[in-house]
Formats: sequence, structure tokens, C-alpha cells
Amino acid sequence: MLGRMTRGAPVQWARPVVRYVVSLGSFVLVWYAASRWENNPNLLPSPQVVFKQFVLMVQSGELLSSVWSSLGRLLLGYALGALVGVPLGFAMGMYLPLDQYISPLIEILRPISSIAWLPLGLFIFGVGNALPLFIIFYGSVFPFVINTIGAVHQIDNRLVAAARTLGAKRWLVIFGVIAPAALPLVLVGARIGLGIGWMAVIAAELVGAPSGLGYLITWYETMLLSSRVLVGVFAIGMVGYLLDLGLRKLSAWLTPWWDGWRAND
Amino acid sequence: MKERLTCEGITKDFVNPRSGEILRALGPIDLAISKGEFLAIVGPSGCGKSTLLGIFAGLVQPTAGRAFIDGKLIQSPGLERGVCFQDYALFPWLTVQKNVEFGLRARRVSANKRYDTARAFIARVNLAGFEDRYPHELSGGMRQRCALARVLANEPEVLLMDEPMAALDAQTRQILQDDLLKIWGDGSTRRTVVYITHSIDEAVYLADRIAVMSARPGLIKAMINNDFPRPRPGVREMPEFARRTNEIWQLIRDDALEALASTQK
Amino acid sequence: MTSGRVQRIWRFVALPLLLIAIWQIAVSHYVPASSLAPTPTGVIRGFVELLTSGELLAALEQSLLRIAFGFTFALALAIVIAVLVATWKPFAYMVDPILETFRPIAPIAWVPMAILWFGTGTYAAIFIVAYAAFFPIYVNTLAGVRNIDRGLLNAAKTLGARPTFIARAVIIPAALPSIILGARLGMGLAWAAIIAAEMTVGSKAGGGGSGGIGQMMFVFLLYRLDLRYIVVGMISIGLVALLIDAIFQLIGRRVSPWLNRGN
Repeated sequence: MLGRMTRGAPVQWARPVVRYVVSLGSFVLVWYAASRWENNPNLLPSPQVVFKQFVLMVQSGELLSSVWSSLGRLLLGYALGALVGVPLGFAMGMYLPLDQYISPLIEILRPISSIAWLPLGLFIFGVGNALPLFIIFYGSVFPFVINTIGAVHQIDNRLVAAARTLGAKRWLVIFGVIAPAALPLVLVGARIGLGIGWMAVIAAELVGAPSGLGYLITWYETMLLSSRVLVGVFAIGMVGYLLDLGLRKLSAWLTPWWDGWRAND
Repeated sequence: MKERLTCEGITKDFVNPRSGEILRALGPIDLAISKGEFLAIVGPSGCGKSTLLGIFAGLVQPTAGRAFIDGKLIQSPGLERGVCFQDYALFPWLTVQKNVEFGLRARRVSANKRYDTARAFIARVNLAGFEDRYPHELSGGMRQRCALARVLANEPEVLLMDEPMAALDAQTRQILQDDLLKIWGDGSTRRTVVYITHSIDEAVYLADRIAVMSARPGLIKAMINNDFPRPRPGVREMPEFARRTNEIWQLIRDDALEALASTQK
Repeated sequence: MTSGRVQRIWRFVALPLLLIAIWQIAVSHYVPASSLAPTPTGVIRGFVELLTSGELLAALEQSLLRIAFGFTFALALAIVIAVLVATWKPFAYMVDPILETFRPIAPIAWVPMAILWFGTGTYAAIFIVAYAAFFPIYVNTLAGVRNIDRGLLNAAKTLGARPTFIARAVIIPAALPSIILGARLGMGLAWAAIIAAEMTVGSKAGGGGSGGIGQMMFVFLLYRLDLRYIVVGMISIGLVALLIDAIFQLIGRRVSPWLNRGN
């Protein structure tokens, strides 16, 4: 029935929007009904309470400053991870002996998730900014290295051959051919690293930081203010989604020639 | 000396990594190509034609034997030997203009000169107006012309072409063949061309001499003097054309049948 | 052994050995004896102690049991929902947007909420595990089902099979490689999630009540302050992660041999 109602070209783009609204709308309704049935505002706050708290938290500036703190840590740790991981990945991708030396270390450390470092990290760094930075760096550096190595390995050899037959010497080959050719997959690694990094910030803040979204939700949890906890949770999801979207758009802009973006959405 | 490209005793072996068995893919090959000559190489799949071209290009090291250009030993790629690859090997992140400029950039030609030179060659291959397009926006024929312009911009004395028209439809191919002959030049400005193709028709249409190769190991079975007078627009209708193509086909046929059978094992 | 092989083995162990040696020397010679910094030998001894006292295995067992429950639940739910979404459009329109809205929310973000709902015990952990494992399984199963060759489905229909039978006998086997990939990823995430959950819970509950290896590590940090044990815990976490992944890779190869031969 909805199909018949919405036939016609100008409405084509509206269909997915309508579906989205209907779907989430129903979800909110079910949520509302469940909260009424459960009738325990600490356990399951109703949608309107959560929304009201959201507005209050935005107005007080609390939500935005928490987002800001978390983002700041993320960007710093993530940038460090990129600065270390990408050049290392390139070097390892191009020189096999280097890969053979370093890979074992990577394979040993990688299974120890960044979160497993929290207790030791807490001991070394204490509560503060250094701990989240380390955890984020650690979590994001591995996707950068591994994906960059893969990116270098999948480069079509003929591109390098063509460059050499056109007279390119070593540095032009590296910066003019290998770097751009590897860029799409390096950016895929960047996306993965960003997802891990965002999760690592929250995890680190849950345990050992005095500010940020992770700290926010755990603080309100001890206050038993579940509505505010939910605001924080949705904020975490929203920021994570926007970060990923932003990186995807940036990647598509940087590498317009690559058609893998369709597959990776 | 009139010999531009020569090779003597060229062989290329491959070692099976698992069994350690040595497989002779190519050779021994002795070849002498004169200045300004258009030599076509035809043969069944797996006869090593691309490998031979790679050796002349300096991209592949022979297991034994040596190749020379103007008497100088060939050991690495060089500007005087321009290469056209089978899948064009255009840099996907560069526009047509920038692709054609690449070799000039490698030689540190000034930006203005680069721009003008590239522009001229793009016009020469009838690609004017598409300078700012990316390879993925071009049709197969246009990509081929872009690759050609890129090579020609360095004004190489030798053109090594590895099945450049293989991916094109028959009509585009015919047009580009004539374009190639025009670019090849007249009289003393003629470049030396080594042209690999699967199509016997194409070889007989374009070349002065045709080397017919057999497979496993790759050897030159016969050298055919293809001295139809130039220009050759109507040559395809001549009965001698059919006789020549048939002659070559007979030479290749058994090898081709065997190649077909072996791929189906 | 060929020289190439020797070279590869040497390159493989060189860096780790060097780092361990530096670690040992640095701590035993340059760090005051009263500090708590662990040495490699100390860690090994700690390993033995924890193993023999049974603490390590008990903690691991707790964590793994929780994963088993949460993962199995997530697996069943995710596969069913994915198959439905892939085959029944109305269901997809309703459910997929909701799932896509929740997917960016990392499992760890739900820990405080889970504590509010379930307390600091096992149920919170199982919830987090199920949540973490759900999405990779869902996404991969969905992709796997969507990529099934139309021809197979048509063949089944023309042979008179009913929808539920087709789902059982065609869709799931054909999507199995993707499902197993999703399971492998989901398991990896589940393991990371449970460590995180147990640690967070452990840091709150002051070390009591929740059990599991994450919580155990926090106990060591807060009460017994033996860094060796913490490092032992970290290494164990890594080893279990490797083991889990290896097992799933093996399952994957066993279950879809036709895929490997084609490659």
C-alpha cells in the first residue's frame, strides 16, 4: 500500500527517508510502551525523559564539553597511531626483511587487545590524559600497519614498471606511484583504526579518566540516572557514526578513482 | 650501424618453487632489429613473447644471454625504450594530462614546457579535450591513446608494445592501427617498433617483418618478410594478404591447439 | 635446512628476543629493587604460580563460559534476523534501520547501562558479549545471503521446495562461509568486549562479585598489586584470542572445503 501511495518520480528520494522514520518511530513507540509497562524510571526511562535530559545536557554545555574531551584524546592518539603506523607499514611493505623482523612482534602484541592494557596502563600512567592516549595509540596503530602493508602488496606491478620505463627514479616511484596506489587501502585501514580508537577512548575513560563521554556515562551510572546514561550512550553512537561517515567522505574525495568505496559501504 | 636492437642467446628459466624443477620458458633467442623497422611478434599463449619484450625493456633479467640497444647492454629500463603495456598501466590517480607529463616530470622538465609538450602529444593522438579526465572516465580506445601519448612524450627511439590493442573492439582497433602507423613516421624519422600481438591480421597489416614463435620453450620458429608496399590502406583486400596470414596461421596452429589442450587439464 | 629457512627463522625471533633481553637487563640492573616492575623471569614464575594455584584457569573458565552463552545466543539471533532481512522486504525495512542505528554504539558503551539493568554480575557480561558478537555475525550473514547465486535459489524453487526448507537447505549452507567469517569476527569482538566489561565492572565492584579474567586483573591492580600477575593476565588474554581465532579458522576450512579448492 505504501508502494502505491508513493509512486511517482519526485517522491523516489523520499521513500528511504519515510521508511527510516517509520522504522525508528515504531522502535520509539515500542520503547515507550515498554517503559510504561516496566514503570521503573531507573531501569527503563521513557523516550521523552531521555530526550528532555538530552536537551538539558546540551544546554548546560556538559554534553558538548564531554564530546570535546573525548574527541581531543581520540584525535591525538589516532594521529600518533597514523604517524607511526603508516610509514612503518610502507617500509615493511616494500622491504621484506623488515617485515620479517617486525611482524612477529606485531603478531604477539596484536591479540592483546588495547583494553587488556588498562590495568598495567593505569599503574604506569595513573588517571589522566596519558592513559587514554596510550590505549588509543596502541589500538589504532595495528590496523594502520597491517592495512598499509597489505595496500603496498596489492599494488599492480605494472604501474611501477611503467613508471620506471618512463624514467622515474626511486623517490618518484615511491612518492609518485606507490603512495597514491596504496592510498585507497591505507584509508580502509584508517577507517578501521578510527572505529577501534573511538571505542578505546570510551573504554579508557570508563576506567581511568576524569572527563569525556566514557566518564560521563559511568558517572551517571553511579548516580543511577539511567536517562542521562542513555543520552551519553546515544551520543557515543552518534559521534562514532559521524566520524566514520566523515572519514568515508574524505577518503572518497581523496581517491576518486577507486571503485572499492561502493563495496565497502 | 643499422642494427638498433639486438639480442643473442637470450634464455629465461623459471624455477617451480615447490618441486625445484627448472622450466625453460624462453630461448635461446637471437634477434637483430634494424633502425626504423616495425617488427611484429606472434605466437600462442605462453610462448614467452611478453617475457622477451620485458627483457628488451630492461624489466626482466634473462637467465642467460644479453640484449643490446645500439650496442649498449640492456640492464634496466630507459627512456629510449618506451613501453606500452597490455592494460595500459595508466596511473589512475592522475588525469590524462598528468599521466602524459609523467616521464617529463621524471626528467625534471620545467612545468611550462611539460604542459605544452604533453598537450601537443595528447592532440597528436586525437585525445584533445580530454586532458582533465581520469583514466576511469575514458573508454578503452581512449586509454590506449593516452598510454601511447605518455610514451611518445619522451620521444623514445624504440617502441616496445605488448598487445596494446588486445582489449579493444575491432572497429576501434582498426582506427588506432592507422593512427599508430601515422605516428610511426616516415623515412628517417621512423622509430623502431617491436609489437606483440595475438592477431595475425594485425601483424600482417602493420609490420615489416614478423617473428613467429612457438611455445614451451619459446623459440622463434620463423621470420617472415612482410614487404607489402606502404601505405597499406587497401592491403587487406589483396589475395596475398590472405595467403600470408594463412601461412603464419599454419605455423602457429599446432602450438595453439596444444596450448588450448593444456589449459583444460 | 636451507640457508633461506635459517634466515627466516632468525628474523622471526630476533626482535622479540632482543626486546625481552633488554627488558630483563633494564629492570634487573637499572631499576631499584623495591619497585614493582616485573621482569620476564618474574612473569614466567608468576605464570606458574597462577596456573598451579588454579586462579588463572578458574578466571579464564569464567570468562569463556560467559562468552559461550552470549555468543551462542547472538549467533542464533543474528543468523535468523539476517536471513529474514535478506529475504523478506517489509521485515528489512522495519528492522535494518534500527540495527544500523545501534551498530556504531560500541559494546563497551553499554556497560554502565548493563550494570544498571543486571548488576555487576555474570548477566551483564553475557549481555555485553551477545551485543558485541551480534553485529559482525549479522552483517556478514546478511552479505553472504545476499550474494547467493540466484541460480541456486531458482533451482530449489523449481524443484518444489518450500521457503522454510529453502532457508534451511540452500540459504544457510550457501552462506556458510560468510557466516563463519562473521562468527570469527564476532568471537574476536566478544572476547575483547568481555575483558572490557569485566574490567569496568571490576573497577566498580571493587574487585568483588564479577569474576572472570578482566576482573581478576583489576583485583591484582587494586589489592595485591603484583604487576607480574597483571602481565600474566595480559599474555593469557592474547593467547586465548589467538586460540579462538585459530579454532574458527579451522572450522571455516573444514566446513567449506569447496571454497578452498576453487582458490
